[in-house]
This record gives sequence, C-alpha cells and structure tokens, in this order.
Amino acid sequence: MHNISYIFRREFRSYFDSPIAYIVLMFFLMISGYFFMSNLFLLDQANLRTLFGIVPLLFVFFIPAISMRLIAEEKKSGTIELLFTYPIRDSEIVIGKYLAALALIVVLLLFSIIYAITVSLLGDMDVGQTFSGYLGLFLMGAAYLAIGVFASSITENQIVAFIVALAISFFFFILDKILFFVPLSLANILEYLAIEYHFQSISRGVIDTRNIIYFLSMIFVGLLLASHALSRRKGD
Amino acid sequence: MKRKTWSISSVSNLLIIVAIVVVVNLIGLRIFGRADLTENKIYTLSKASRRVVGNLEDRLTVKAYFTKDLPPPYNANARYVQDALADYRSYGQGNFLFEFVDPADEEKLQQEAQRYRIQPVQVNVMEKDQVQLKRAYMGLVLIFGDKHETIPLVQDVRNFEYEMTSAIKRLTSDSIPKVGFLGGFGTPDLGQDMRALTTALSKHYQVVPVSTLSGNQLISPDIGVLCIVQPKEPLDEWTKFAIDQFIMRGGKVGWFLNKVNADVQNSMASGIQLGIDDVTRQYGFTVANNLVMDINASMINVQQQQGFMIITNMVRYPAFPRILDFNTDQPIVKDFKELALFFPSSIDTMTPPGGQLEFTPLFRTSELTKIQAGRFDIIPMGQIRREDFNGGAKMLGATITGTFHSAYAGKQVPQPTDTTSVAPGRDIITISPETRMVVIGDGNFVQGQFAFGGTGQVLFLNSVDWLSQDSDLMSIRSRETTIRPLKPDISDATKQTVKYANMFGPPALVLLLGALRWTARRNRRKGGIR
Repeated sequence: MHNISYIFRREFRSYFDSPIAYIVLMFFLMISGYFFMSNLFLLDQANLRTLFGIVPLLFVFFIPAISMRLIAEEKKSGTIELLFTYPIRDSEIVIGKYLAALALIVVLLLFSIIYAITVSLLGDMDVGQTFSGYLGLFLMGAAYLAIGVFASSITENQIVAFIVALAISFFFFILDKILFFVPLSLANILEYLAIEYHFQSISRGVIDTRNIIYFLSMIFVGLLLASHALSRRKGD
Repeated sequence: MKRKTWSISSVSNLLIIVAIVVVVNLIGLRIFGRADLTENKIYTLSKASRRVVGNLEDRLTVKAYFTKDLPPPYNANARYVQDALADYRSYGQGNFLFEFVDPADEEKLQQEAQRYRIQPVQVNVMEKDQVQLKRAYMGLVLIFGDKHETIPLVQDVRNFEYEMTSAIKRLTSDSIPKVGFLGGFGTPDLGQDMRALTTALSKHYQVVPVSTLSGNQLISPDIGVLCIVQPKEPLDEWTKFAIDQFIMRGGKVGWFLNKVNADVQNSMASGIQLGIDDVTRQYGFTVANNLVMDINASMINVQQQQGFMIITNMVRYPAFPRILDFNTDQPIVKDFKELALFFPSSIDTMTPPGGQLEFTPLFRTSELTKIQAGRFDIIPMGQIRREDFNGGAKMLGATITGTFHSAYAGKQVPQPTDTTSVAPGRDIITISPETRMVVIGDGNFVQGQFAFGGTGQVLFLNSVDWLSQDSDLMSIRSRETTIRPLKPDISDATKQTVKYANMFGPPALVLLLGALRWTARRNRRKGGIR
C-alpha cells in the first residue's frame, strides 16, 4: 500500500510538472465544450446527452495520450531498472501508475462538471441520471486507461504504446456499432464486450451490477496483463 | 523479489485468472441487481404496476413468443422484456408466471401464436455476407383463466410497462366500464348518427344513454366516462348541475362541442348559445362561439350549374380544416398525422380560481386561419384570399387534468327540469378528486355523414380510452414521456454568454492553473539557487 501510494504521488506530480496534463485537459475541454454547447439551446433539453455522446469517442484518443508514457518511458530511460531494485512488486508499480493516470481523468471529469452545473441552472435537470452518467464516464475512462497501461507496458516506445492503445480502445469502442455486420451467433458476445454498450446502460440512469462487473473485469484484466508484461521483461 | 508459490509471469497462471474473470462475468449475467437513479424511477416497475400485479387473485401466465438470437437492436428489447417480466414476477406473489418460447422451428407454436394474433415481422439480418430478411416473433400473450390479452409486437420498450399493466387490468377487472352519452338538447342520435362509433365502442365498453330530463336524478355513479357530443340547444340548470356533480365525484367528461350551427342547405352559419360557458369556465375552458377556417383544408365536391350542364368541382373548403399539428407526446394523438374536422370552434383555456389544473393541447390548426363569428355565409365557392387568413394557429383539442372546483359551490341546488319533482336537499360536492377531461372543438367528426376520414373515429376512441383509464396507468404513461426542456425565458444575450463561458471557461481555467504552478515552481527554483 505504501509502495503504491509512493508511485502514485510520484506519477501524479509529474503529470502536472510537465505540460502533458494541461494540454490534455485543455484540448479535451475545448472539444467537449464546443460539441456540448453548440446545440444545447437548439435541442432545448436539460440533460447532458450530447456530452455523454461525444466523450466516449474523445476518450479513445485522449486516454492513450495520458497512458502512453506511464511505463514505456521508464523502460526507455532505464529508470524502471532502478525501480526494480526497490522492494516493490510489479503489480504495485502498475497499480500506482494506473491510479495516478486515473486521478488525472478524475480531474478532467471534475472540470466538465461545469457543464452539469450550467444545465442545472438553465433547467430542471435529472440529478440522479446525471450522476449515473458521470459514474459511467469514470468507469469507461478507467477501462480505457487499463488498456492504455497495458499497451505502455509492452513497449519502450511511447508512440507505439499510443497507437496500440488507440487500436485496442477503438476496437472496443466500435464493437457495438458494427454488430449488424457480424453473424448472429457472434453479435451477442461482441455486444457484451463493447465498452459503449455498458456505458450507455449506465448513462440512462441505471446502475446495474452487470455493467459494473464488466468494467471491473476490463480494468482487472488490463492491469493483470500489464503486470504480466512487466514481470516477463524483468525475467529476461 | 522472489515469489513463493505462483508467479504472474507464468502464462498458465494468467490464463487461469482470465478464465475466472470470464466465469464471474457469466455468473453476473444471471445474478444481478439494479439501482435506478433517475428522478422519476423511469426504469423501475412503478408503484401502480406493482400494486396491480400484487393484487392478482389467480394465476396469470405470460407466454412470450420471441425469436431467439434476434439481431441488435431487437435483442435489447427481448432482454428488456425479460427483465421487466422478471420484475413483475417478483411482485406477483406467485400468481405471475412467464415463459419465453421461440416459434421459429415449431409449427405448433407458430399456429398458437397465430391464434393469439401474434404475427412475425421481417427484420434485416446479416448472414453469410448478405443482408437477409428474417421472420421474427416479438409478441406476447397474457392468459388469465379463459381470457387473454395480446401484445402483438413489442417495438418500443418505453411503453411496454404501460401496455403490460393495462392488459393485466383489463384481464382482471370483471365489469365492463360504462360510457354514457348525454341525450336530448339536439345531440346526435346514438343508434343512427353515431352508429359506427357506438359499434366500435361496444367492443370494450357498455354504451349507455344518459338523460337528465326527467325526475331529479343525477348521473349514475357506475358510469365512468360521460361524452357530451354536440348539443345544439342550451342545457338547463339541472343538467349542468348533474354534469358538475358527476365531475365532482371523479367522473371523466369528454366534451365534443361546436358553437356554430352550420346550415349546409342554405350555406349559412350562426353561433349557438349552449349556456354552459359559466360552468366550463370553472373547469378551465370555454369553447368559443366561432368557426375556425383554415387554408389547410379538406377538398369537397361542389356542383355547379353552367349553362345546361351541372359540373362537379373539387374545391378546398376552409370550414373543414385538415389538422396536421399534433402534440405527439399525448397518448390520445400519439400516432396521428392528419385529422379532418368540420365547422370546428376554437378552445380557450383559463386557470379558474383555486383550481389545480394542467392543460395539454392535443392539436391545432395551421397559422393561416380565419375566425368567423355571428352570422355568416359558408358558401364553398368563395374566393380563398390568403391575406384574410391571418388568425394564427388555434387550439382545437386539449386535455385538462387535476382537481376541479364545482360551479355550484355556495349556490342553491337548481330546480329539476321535470317540474313535478322537487329539488333534492342534498349536499353539493365542491371539489373533485384527481380527474380529467378531453375538450374537442368539434362534435361533427364522429357522425355518420362526416365520419368518412377514419382518423376521427380513432380520435374519439382514444379519448374515451384515455378518459376511462385510472390514474395508475396514466402515471406510468406520463412518467415515460416527461421531457425536460430548458427554461423558456432565457434571453439571447444570456444564451451567448453561457455558450462562450462554457466553451472557453474551462480551458482558460486549466491554462491559469498551469501558469500558476509554473510560476510557483520557477520561484521555488530561483529561491533554491539563491
């Protein structure tokens, strides 16, 4: 626990000491703000549906950018070898780094609560549903991030990590949109695997254990694979 | 670091863990829980449904004919139906059972579905690299004793609960609801003018003529809905009182009123006084003494003498407006696209003192209307000049729900029409329970000579259905159609400010934060150097 919190603090600080956090936050908020505000008054609905519609796609691009350097960079610079000399488990390194990036996503979502506050001032927003939507965004972000951490753990090139994470994330993103083109026997399985299918279920305003189990599984498997990749490298 | 028994770097260990995760997910699909965070609990079985299913006194079986492995998005509907039925079962105290069957390969089941009027529908499926049509069953039947109710196609899950609960209610109620029609006062004859309509109504209701002209009787309490269709003569005080007290006891009233008497033979029309405005004003509405003409109108045949010949012409007749503008959120006109009305009068709504009423418009004319009042000609061949049609959109149908206040509060019980009987010394009920009305500014559309369009009859039947439902069912329906618009009075300047503040505010905040941290770090570093 102590080790995780050490890694967490070290990583989280480095996000805000470098321009990465600010660039990610700024661009993310600019794009989501633009899409959200450009038709809020046109649709005339006191909900965040447009935001919940655009953020899943933004996550596919932005989260790999957050996660790409986490492990790959330390591999490249060799500082990971230094970490290995400490009595820290691989899983602790992975979890600590994961939580630091997750904290950045939380910061990002906290900024976007400004939109929710705006809407609640302009109309009678369903607070429960909005809360559920944000929980969905958090879980979805956490799942994409686990993919990103895994991608970062298998290479020492940040660009490669970014592209691998983007490709896997996009695969899970697109799954529920291509169901029409796959044979029926596969469609139900692919739909269950689709990230957005579960997100949409939660963003309606219903917290369902089936969706929660799915997201926790995604996170768990992603981090497990990352730990695995890290331990393999050390074994070399 | 040494690991004693197992290592994460072992591939076989990894596979075992992943397999466990898969199993956990599979189990999770069977054992699950839900928490509905929406304000109206949209995704939870409503109290009304729970009560209805909890009060079942005998076994009710639902047989759902659903094709297995439906393609998306239909598979989501199937899952929703399954979840919803499971919810019903959990509140059914053992009397609610359901089963899913797939009639795809079984001739017997297909015939059975056919018997219950459940037809397969065509859906597009991708198979072997080509789009194929697949016959899919998505319907269900509720069986209760020797009665059954069918929901032939579950297309939109949003009103599934409504359909289910109303079907259960219909199955389990043992009395056929009664619909009364006010007689006399020049109202159309039930057996002749409105025969088509009463025939259609009698499938679900018992049609009862209501007369208030003899004795000192009020309207029988076992009548749930009273229809007042186009009286042409003023109502007397006793009748108005009887209607008022009917409403105060929770009765539902459908008003189908024209305030213009059109004499087609002589092509003249004049306003009629029904003497009910003082009463209806208390219920939040009046039907104006006018005729609403709309450029968007039905065509009629007009015969014309030209020399030796009689020529028949099709002409647009503004006194027969074609309605295209419907409030599709309201179940009565939900699926309406068009409706023909005949010599309609417009409806004004008002909030009566002390009343707690909610008005919902059903439909209105186009913007291009001409309002006629008094005595005027209605010759079909008159030139239609667009500039005359500047009356704006007029509401011709509305529903009113809430608690109504009696028009006779603090007054004497009026004298019965039949002067030989005596005014009863009864108490006047002054406030109604939660109840509702439908007001349509036309009563012609239900009658023989005009009821050729078809949608008019649907409008009437839907109105009666809507009126006769109990508030339980309405609560399910209205809950699902809640829309949450933004506040209507936001100025354009505010909109612009809000828009740009939200677009640029958060990124600017991030920039500021970055600048602050950078300055702080630089200062610290400088300090360190000194």
